[in-house]
Amino acid sequence: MEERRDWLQMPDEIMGGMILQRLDHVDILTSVQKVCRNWRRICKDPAMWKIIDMDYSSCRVWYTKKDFENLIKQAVHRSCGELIHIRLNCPVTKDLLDFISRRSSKLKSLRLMKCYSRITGKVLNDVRHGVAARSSLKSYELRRGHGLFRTMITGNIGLLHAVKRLPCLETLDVFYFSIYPEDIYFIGRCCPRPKYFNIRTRFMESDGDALALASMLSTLRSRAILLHGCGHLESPDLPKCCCFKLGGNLEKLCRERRRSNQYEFSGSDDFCDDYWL
Amino acid sequence: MSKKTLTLMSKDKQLFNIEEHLAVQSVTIRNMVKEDGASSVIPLPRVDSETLALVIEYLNRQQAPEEDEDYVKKFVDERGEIPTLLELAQAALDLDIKKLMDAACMKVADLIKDFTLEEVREALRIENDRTPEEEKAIRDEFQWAF
Repeated sequence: MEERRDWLQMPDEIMGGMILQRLDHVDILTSVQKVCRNWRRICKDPAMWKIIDMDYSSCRVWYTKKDFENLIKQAVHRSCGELIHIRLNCPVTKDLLDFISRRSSKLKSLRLMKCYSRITGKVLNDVRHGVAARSSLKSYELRRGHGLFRTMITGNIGLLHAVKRLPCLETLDVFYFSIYPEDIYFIGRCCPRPKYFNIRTRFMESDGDALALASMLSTLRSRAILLHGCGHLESPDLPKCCCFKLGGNLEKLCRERRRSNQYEFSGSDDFCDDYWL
Repeated sequence: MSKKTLTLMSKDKQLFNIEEHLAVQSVTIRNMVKEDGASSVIPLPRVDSETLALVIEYLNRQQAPEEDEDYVKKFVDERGEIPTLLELAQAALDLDIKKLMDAACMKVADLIKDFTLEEVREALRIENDRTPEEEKAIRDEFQWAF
């Protein structure tokens, strides 16, 4: 009979640092830590939670949004302020952003892949339909003050407050359905040392907004702001732009910015596919 | 470089020979060689002979550096048993062979990520050692969570 090897004697740097850390963070909270006392101890170590990556869409168990948010909170809680990177693929509420930003003063990287709360009503259907037929996006006229945008506004405020509280933030990667130029400008000003800002948005409200943004950005020091949007571009070598309607003036502005190497405007469509409301 | 041979001794006192220039891929051995020339037998008290044979096989590979990544992946893939991989990871930790340790740990994580609780316990031969009080503590914690 083979000698029974006691795996619990494995050094923590292998079991915790190398193996358990690679498991899905949702799984760690909901099952891995229940395996045995030793694993539970390892899973409570703040070192395990310096990087948090939680994806609602890859969960094997169905969670309500509230439950999932609580799981994220628990993970953040366990990091004991040591959190450095966080990537969330789920709807992020203002409350959650508050929770994270108040507890994670060392946070360097904030990635929010789906950054809006629930939207209902006609606009939602229109938007869904619009996603199904992407080519028809151009024809969507969404006006400020509509239910959709009211939701966005609360979400944005959450982000603005969060960014203010995170002095070490270097990377910000957010997907906002809609974001106002003022917000982006504010974020740019709040972060003293941005290395990578990626703000993806589907809609700019109008050419006017996009223009305002472009001119505001030119006064910012930060050089690494990327804006993705659904630009329908006529010419492939144009700098892609952050709005879906590219007007004459804006095009010129973007070109100038691009030439002075200040900003990169890009309108890749790659994120449009993984859509989730 | 002269082809000097080193002798490694496993936990169960088996001896393995390996050429020095291959053995020094292990940072631990490299340091030993630097310090005292490592003329005598190098004892590895935590590594059993089966695992050491695997490590030697890995060190003896004849691969160009650019194929190394693929090789180490294939190497651990062929040994898909969790206990073997954990032994290998532990040996690689002791010998400080980073690539091998990373690959072995990654493979273990890959294997157990889809396991249920019971399957994990079985595969790693772990007993559920939590007392009812601790079970309750976990549930209470999850009350907080949910």
